Amino acid sequence: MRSDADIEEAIDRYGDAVLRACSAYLSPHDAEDAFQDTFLRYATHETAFNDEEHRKAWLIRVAMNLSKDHLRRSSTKAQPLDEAPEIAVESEDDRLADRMRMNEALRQLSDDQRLALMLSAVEGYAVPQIAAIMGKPENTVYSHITRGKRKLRKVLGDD
Amino acid sequence: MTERNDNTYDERIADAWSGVQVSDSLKASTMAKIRAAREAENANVEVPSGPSSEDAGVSSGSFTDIVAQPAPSLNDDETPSVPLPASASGVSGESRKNASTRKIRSVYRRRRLVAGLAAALLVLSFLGVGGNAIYHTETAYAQVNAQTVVTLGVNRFGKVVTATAAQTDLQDDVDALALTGMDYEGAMNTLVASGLLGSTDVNVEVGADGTDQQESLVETTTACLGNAGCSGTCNGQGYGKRDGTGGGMGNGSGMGNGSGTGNGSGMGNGNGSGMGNGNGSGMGNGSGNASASCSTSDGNESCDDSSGHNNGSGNGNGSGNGSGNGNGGAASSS
Repeated sequence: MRSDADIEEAIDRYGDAVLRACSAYLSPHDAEDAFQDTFLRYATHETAFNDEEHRKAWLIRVAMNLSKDHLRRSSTKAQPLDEAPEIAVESEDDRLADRMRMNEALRQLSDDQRLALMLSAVEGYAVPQIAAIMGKPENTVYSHITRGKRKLRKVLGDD
Repeated sequence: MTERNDNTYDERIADAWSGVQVSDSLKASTMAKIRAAREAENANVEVPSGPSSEDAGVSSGSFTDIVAQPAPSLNDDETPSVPLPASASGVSGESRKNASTRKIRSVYRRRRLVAGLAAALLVLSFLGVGGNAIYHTETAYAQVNAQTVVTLGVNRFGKVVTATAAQTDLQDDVDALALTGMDYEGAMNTLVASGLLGSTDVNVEVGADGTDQQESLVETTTACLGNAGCSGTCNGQGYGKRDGTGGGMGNGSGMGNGSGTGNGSGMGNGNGSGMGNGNGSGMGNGSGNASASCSTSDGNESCDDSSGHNNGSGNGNGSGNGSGNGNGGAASSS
């Protein structure tokens, strides 16, 4: 089992990405459960990684699969981001208003579309890398991203 | 322009996700859970980790390795095709768990297959039973009247499904002709040619649910009789004549008489008692008959398809009574 320091360092580095991956599928509460399970897996995963990117990709992949497992077990569809406390901020600030609108729009995407967009826009992964993490063909990932953005434009009225 | 728009969207998407961050409390609770699991493992208790084995889809290799390994999807009931490296999970017995998962999924697949086959068999059996019932449903008849009277029941497909001799002692001979299963024309030819009818003067009554089938049977019968050199006629009677059934009921009650006597004698004070019994019996008779009203109007095929009439009557009388008397009187002493 990995040391506490190793695990804490992984959480500091990649915790946000892992939590976002879980949030793409699950409600905030369930996402936290999946987050904990992900790092529990990490704690018991003793094989060394090739590099940091590999470690991050491994964590995101495990988070995604555990979230899907959670969905399968609970059969409760999450509304990612919706209940995130940050989103509930009431402000006249344009940026916050735009964030709320975007979150609302993201909720209308499929889980895979949302994750693909998150990995692309937030984590900066390219399509081949996202395909590797999601275990899907590149064309499918490309389609997720393209259709996801198209739907976002439509929902946001930017067409 | 589009690229710039995409970049703007990426920024906005990133901004939307920016609020999702690991809080200190989540980090602390995660570490606490891991420590608890570690202690449990040290105490040789099973680690309460998440139930997934899906991290088997992630190897310790490079991105290329990950690409080469298909990830299970939400709708994927199949066993992950990627074997789990013994060290991939760090949980002892993981490969055994993975094998168990494969076995369970295999069982589910088998169950689905069995369920599908069962459903298919059920449908086929219903079709079979239904088809069998339809095949054996008689929709027409031909009553062949000669010295021997034989009635052929015909289904909607023109196949003979019953062959009945009016003279029961000849039923075996009719059965020996194996008329059932033949088409009507073949059965009629066989019957006429068999000599079982005992005469070439043959009159046939044909009835069918539908006019078309009746006409067809009359035509076929006439041809058969002609080919066999038989004299006689073939008339269409309508199916109702044969189908007339009925029943009657009768009831009766009994009649009986009874009487009783009693007497008594005494001295001084006397008393007497008497008993009487009566019983009766009776008989009742009932009878019923059924007839089909079918009028032949103009020869061969214009018989009305009428339904049968049922009549029944019954009567009976009976009554019973009984009485008894008893007398007693005192006699004076001498």
